[in-house]
Amino acid sequence: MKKIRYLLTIFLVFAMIAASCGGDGDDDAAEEDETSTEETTDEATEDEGDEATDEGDEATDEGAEVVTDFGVDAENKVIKVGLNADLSGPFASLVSEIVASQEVYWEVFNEAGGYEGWTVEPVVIDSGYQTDIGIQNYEELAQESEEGVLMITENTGSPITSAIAQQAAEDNVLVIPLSWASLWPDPEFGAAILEKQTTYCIESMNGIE
Amino acid sequence: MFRRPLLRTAYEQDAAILPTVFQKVAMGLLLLGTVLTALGAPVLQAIPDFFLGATWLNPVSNMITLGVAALGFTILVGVTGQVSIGHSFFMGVGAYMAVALGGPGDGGTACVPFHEELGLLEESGVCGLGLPIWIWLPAAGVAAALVGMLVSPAAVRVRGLYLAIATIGLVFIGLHLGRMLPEFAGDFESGRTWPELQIKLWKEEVPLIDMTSDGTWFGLIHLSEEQKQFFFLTALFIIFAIAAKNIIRSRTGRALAAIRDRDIAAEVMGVPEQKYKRIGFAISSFYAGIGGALFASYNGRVAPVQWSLFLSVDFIAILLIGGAGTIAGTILGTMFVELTPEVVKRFTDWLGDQVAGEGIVATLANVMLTEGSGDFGPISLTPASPGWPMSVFLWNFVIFGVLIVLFMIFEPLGLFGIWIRIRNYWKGWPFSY
Repeated sequence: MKKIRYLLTIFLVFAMIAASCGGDGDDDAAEEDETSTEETTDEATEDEGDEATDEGDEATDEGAEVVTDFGVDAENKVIKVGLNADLSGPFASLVSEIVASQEVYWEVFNEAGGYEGWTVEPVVIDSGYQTDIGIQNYEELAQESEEGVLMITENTGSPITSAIAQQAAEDNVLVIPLSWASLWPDPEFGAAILEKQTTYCIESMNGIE
Repeated sequence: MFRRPLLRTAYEQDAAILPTVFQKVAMGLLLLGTVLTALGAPVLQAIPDFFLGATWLNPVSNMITLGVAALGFTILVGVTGQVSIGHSFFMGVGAYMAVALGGPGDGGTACVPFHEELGLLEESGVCGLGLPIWIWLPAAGVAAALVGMLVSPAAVRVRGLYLAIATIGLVFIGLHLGRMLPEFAGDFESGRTWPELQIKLWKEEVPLIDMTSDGTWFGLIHLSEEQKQFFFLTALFIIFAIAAKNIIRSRTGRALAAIRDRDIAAEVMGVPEQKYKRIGFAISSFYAGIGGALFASYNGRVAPVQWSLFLSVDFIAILLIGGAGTIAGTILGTMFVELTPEVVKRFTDWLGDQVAGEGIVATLANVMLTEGSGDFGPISLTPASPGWPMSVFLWNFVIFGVLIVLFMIFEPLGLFGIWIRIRNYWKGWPFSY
């Protein structure tokens, strides 16, 4: 009897410790999440501030007679950008935050009045990190109609990016990949690809030297 | 008595591909509908875009290439009863055979190793031989069939769940080889370029039938690139589906079915088990190889990670939802599994457009959808939102899983079983019970 009570006490103590730890852990995790999203949002803001102004510059350079590509609605002053993201595949948890940060950025950008009245509408499609679906999404985003987008600001993964690279060069659609493969600096293959950081190869060379 | 579905008065009727008038008419209507839809006939323009439309050609063509491989899976798992999860490995074998033979030849710009040019990584040999499709497509099937025959002795030693586990190993061996043999598989991250779907006599510049640019076929109809490829793939699929149906209703098919029902009993009856299991694996892998080669060359550039376990699991879903062991079930299952995510996505898009309107649809859309936060709809319009409410992409997973469970419990024969139930109801109407 004494033994059982002894065991019960130990069990209860453990249970309480476990419960308190669990609660703490959750809080910490939540706080971390919040801070990390903020960070990514900041980074995205820095990254894409340049692009947005670039687009705006192009538009204003043309003067009143704006020459528009697919994905640019000159009447309502809306520019569409596409995100061919992995929201349900192996990188879903990472890419969801990156996509969310871009969406938040464009929301803030648009609420602040956009660039001289031009607003940006992100179009997000999920590829699940599957090449065939990624290509379908690209065709959908880059279609030459009112539903098409001007450029793809996020394209998850080397397999999908390399599968659409040549088509994007033909269609004249700029693609920013979420991928750092050595293929993108190739002037012929990566003609439509705007790589945003050093490639894995160069990065590892830097690490060794 | 006349035209009763199950009343056979001659052996020819029993073995016919489309035994009843209804099936002949249904198949004819399906083909007619397919052709009209692909051509964008004016009658069909009135139907909302989430159901039909030109942007469907790409998903449907992909579905057809996977459907060819699914036919092979049906022959192996549905007819022969050998549960194999290595199907994506055989697809990969076929695809790499196709690219080795048919890939862009020496001197072509598409196969110049970029890494060498940049001095980053020595990599050579990713050029193909540039042979035409009538060589690389059958070769892809034959190569996969040979590998399948090598694997088949395992099926004689182990059966059921153990064979499934053994064949899982093939997928991982395949992925490992893809990583270890860059001169064959290309870069692990980004793959290599597959031959285009062109019909050539030999290595000439101008193809016999051009399928990579818009143009007029036979001086009759003007077709876009996607439409041409769609018709080519559909024609191939019909040929392969009829061939599969013929295999199933032949002596070989009956032997395979005998092994499925009870392998020892089959052997007692004089069906050599090892031989027919080898034949089953060979036929199935042949289809897988062809399907893999078509899939890869339709998509143009595929990385080795594509031939993963998930692709094999897709085929199991096709088999379970469609109905095991029938060609019609395979076609229904492939359509269902490959197109449901697209339908759900487009339906949600369409529903999102209805919110602004009035009436029942708008109310329904309001209840179903959540934009931003503070709403109670189960579907979130913000795609990148983890947690509740879930985005449409995550809902697709849930729908998929729930459907497989429901089919397993309530309709083990799959979509084909539902059809049989409907047919049986009307067969005895008005005295059906």
